[in-house]
Amino acid sequence: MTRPASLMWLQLPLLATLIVIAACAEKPKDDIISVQTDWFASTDHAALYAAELHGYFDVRNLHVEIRQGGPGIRAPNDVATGRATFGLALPENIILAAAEDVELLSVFASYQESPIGLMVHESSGVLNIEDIANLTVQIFPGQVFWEVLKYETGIAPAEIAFDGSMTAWAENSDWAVQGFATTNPFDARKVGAEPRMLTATQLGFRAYAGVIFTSQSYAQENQETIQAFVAALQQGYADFLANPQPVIEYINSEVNNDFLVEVGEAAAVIMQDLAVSQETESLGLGAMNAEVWNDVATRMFEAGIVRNEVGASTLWTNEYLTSRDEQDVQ
Amino acid sequence: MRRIFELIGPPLLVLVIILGLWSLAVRLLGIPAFVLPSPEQVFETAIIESDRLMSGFRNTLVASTVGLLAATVVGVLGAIILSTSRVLERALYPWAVVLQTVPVVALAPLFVLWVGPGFVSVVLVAFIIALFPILANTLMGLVSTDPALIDLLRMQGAGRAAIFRKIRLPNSLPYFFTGMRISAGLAVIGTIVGEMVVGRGGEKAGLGYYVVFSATQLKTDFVFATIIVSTGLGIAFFLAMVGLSSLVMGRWHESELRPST
Repeated sequence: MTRPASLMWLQLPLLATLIVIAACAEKPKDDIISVQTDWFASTDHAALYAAELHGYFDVRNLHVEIRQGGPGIRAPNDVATGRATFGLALPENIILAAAEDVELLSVFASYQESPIGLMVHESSGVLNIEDIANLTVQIFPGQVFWEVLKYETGIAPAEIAFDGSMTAWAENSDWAVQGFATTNPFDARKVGAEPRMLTATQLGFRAYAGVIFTSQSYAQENQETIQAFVAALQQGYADFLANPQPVIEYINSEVNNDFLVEVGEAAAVIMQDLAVSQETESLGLGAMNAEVWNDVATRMFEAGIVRNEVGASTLWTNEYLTSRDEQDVQ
Repeated sequence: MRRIFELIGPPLLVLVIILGLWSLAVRLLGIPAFVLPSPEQVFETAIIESDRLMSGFRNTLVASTVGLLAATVVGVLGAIILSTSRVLERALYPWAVVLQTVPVVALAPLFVLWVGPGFVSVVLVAFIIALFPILANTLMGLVSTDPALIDLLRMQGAGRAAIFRKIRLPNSLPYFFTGMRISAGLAVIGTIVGEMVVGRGGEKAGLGYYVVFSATQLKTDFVFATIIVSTGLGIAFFLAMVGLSSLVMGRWHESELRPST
């Protein structure tokens, strides 16, 4: 036993190395604007890829590098540690980060209503959150909208960790599975299921989604860059909503071959409703309002998801947006 | 008393130094809590989240124990069967190796399809991960007996059963316990991996579920607290095997006898 115990001393240099690694995060090059998305490239990131495809970053002299996300990628962490300039995530994550004293600033919302929600079988007859109580819910542990709704309604259905596969859900008509309204119903139909998508908004939790954010410190020192970046996003997103096909084909052929064109086409139809609101009509694509942010922050606090109440007013801004009227003038 | 101090003292001292350095580094380097929380913060969170950690600990303990027991029974029986015939060993042992190299995380979604989500799937993951070290080590012990001893017993008219009981079985015990020490930790790791991928939530959530839960909510301090509890469980399993090994072999096997200095 004494020999293995002496090896414990190796933990000292190991810990020191880990601390150095944690402290010395890889920084982006000064002239490159890196954007860390939340998942593999899809139309959920259409504003970014449309701006890239149509050259709207280039004309503004912005050198933008879009990095695809995936399992385990958490864009708020990357932006907070300086590994990425911008990130894309759910607004709940910005509030969670703020609760941990990480100061981020959201500048553009891809979705006015989040496409995230629960997918059930049409045959289950489930229409609302109360009906879900009788199902088994396959969901990524800790998903905020679900934790809030459970707390508020008092339902406690059986839960299973979501493994990223829809196969088990397709085989069980009394299951609900976490999904994105833009892409997952299409996937479900392909495996012969008849899905009904209930978005978080329909279930009683309205939030934005696909929020693009940066750090407060970057925002303070790079106002013009952010202005130009957001203008490119707005221009790209408007082009996508008007004519999605080129962007879908670009994502499929140049960025992520696994993202099928037909999935993108189905998503683009749904996005027409989710991407716009009264705010976007008056303030431009990507706009947000205080009511939605405050409501999400308050409900997260009441549900015990954040330990301290977070003031949401400093977590977002519309100041970099260009309204349609202003775009027309330009 | 002195022996206990010699045993526990050095690693405990290292732990204190590590915690001190960790705390100091977080303060001096200004590392944000979501990247690396201080040990004090982790401790505080562990207190706040003690209910969830305790229930997660219980669920993981049960699944790990069942997974390890299943791996022990199947591993030992498998090793006994394989040791009886070279042909059987040649036919089946490679498949045991294949089972060990299969990426079990990728299999987990299939377990959900076949046996349903939750406890059984989690135990299956733990079982597959824990099986091979027990099987391989026990088999090695059973077949690596001294031929001279076997010949001696045969000359005295001993049959296969007597040779197995008096020579092969005692000879395999040190190997078996070596396998158990490895598999004990692996069973806990397998359970936690299973819980992360196919585990149940709510009251049935294990520590693996809470690792993902807390990481999703950017609560790094809770992630650390869960990892520390999980590590503690792994160490407890390992020590239980060391204790069991000492209990069974302490009086007769050289690996367990104290040097008579």
